[in-house]
Amino acid sequence: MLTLKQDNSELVVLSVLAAGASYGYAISKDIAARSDGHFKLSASGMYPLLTKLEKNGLVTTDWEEVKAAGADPESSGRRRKWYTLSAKGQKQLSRRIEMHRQMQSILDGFVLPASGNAHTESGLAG
Amino acid sequence: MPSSRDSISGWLDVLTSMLALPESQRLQVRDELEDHLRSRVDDLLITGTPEPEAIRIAVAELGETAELAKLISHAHTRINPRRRIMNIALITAAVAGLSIGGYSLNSAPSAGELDPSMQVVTAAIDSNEPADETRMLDIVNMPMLMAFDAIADMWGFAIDVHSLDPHIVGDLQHRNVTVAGEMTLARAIQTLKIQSLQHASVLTTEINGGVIELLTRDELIRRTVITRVSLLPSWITTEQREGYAESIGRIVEVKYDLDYTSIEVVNGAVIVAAPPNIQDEVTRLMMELEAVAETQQEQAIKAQEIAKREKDLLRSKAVQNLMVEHERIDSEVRKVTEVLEETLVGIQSLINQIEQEVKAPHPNSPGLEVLEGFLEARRGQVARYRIQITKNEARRDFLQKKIFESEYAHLFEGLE
Repeated sequence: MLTLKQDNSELVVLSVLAAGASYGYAISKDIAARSDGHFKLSASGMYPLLTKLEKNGLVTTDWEEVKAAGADPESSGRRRKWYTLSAKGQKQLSRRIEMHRQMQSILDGFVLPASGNAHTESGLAG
Repeated sequence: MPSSRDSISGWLDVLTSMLALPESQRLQVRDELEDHLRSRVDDLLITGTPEPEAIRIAVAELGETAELAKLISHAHTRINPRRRIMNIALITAAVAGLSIGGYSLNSAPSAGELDPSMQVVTAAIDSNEPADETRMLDIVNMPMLMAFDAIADMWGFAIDVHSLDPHIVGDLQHRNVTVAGEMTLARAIQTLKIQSLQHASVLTTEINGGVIELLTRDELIRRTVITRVSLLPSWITTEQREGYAESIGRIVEVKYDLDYTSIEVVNGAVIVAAPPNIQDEVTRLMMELEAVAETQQEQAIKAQEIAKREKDLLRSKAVQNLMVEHERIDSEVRKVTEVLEETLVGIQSLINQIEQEVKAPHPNSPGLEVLEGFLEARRGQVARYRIQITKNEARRDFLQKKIFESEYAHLFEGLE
């Protein structure tokens, strides 16, 4: 399992929230599930990041009262904090995705077989 | 027996106590993490994990409690999202038992701890952004040391703890401060410093050369100490050397605290180790003493010159008097010599007259006996003249010698 670096964490969390509102534990589970368990965002990485996203207006938050299954309907449940991608967050995600694609394209130029390599080889042969 | 669910509450109590945040934010963080923990425990229970083990796993997955509390606290107080998160792990504790990251400070002093006057907290710059940029701060009721850390972080600084005095840091750890509003780094630190209360007279801060420092005033003074070596003034005698250093120390002490000052005379040199303001005072004092000594030397030289001129004048007058007397005596010698020569001529004439009287007495002659009486009287005069001349010549020679000695006396004074 890989531990996400901060730069990637923001892209991943914003991407998860792009699919719909979520909360901390669910986000961490979603990341693990969508990466087939390859990525892990620790609590010490995720909650400060979510706070930062909230303070910068990239996400909005709401609180929901949650009750455990079988709990007394009269008793108070625990509170859950929901995160929703804001319009500003959506723009930020778009920028991050574009940057990611550009970087991916640049890296592909190095790692994929291309005519450039053949040209180099022919150049060397000549 | 407490339920296993209570152990989650216990852990949350510990974490919440470590959060350097206002109460409302603490509760929100607690609620969110409680939801996380209980959701995770529920999932583990579904997979058949025993509840105690499920709780242990869920808590362990959150990581080190103090680190988590600190990162969450920082996230809430950090304003500028562009600022690079500084490596909080830079925080190290120099004193055994001290854990800044976890804020589990053991404030009890331990054996071998550092001198409180030497304690320093520094924040090393790790940012190219100027410290005079303003930031919007919203630090409410946060422990002072943590607030210092958070503020430094906002300007891209990282706290680097070199050494800590447990007493002071312990107090700072538990003293809550509030820094709110848009302000510069210097203003933020000043706001913190004002709230240090009982440490206000002990602590000070410096933003200098890209480094923020929270340090004791004693240490601030100590680190400014510079050492200067200068030649001991030439007019100081060996016996006066120690007294010179002590005198300067006593004079400067009237105005300054000399806890970090040393003035020593070593092998003909004055060595002063002191803060710059005291160095300047000592230097000024030494220069004034030197000026006074030079004035005294000049006055002494002038006095010597005046005395010499007076002595020369007296000598000149004495020589003049001697010369006048010498001239008078010499003149007298010449006169008496002339009279003597005339007397001798007269004696010769009397002798001739007596001889003539013996051969053929002259009728108008006073007689041989009278003539011989005249001759005897003249011879007596001659004897007296010669005595007078001899006496005057001796006096004249004496005066001549005195004049010579007086005129050239200054040539021989140095040889005496």
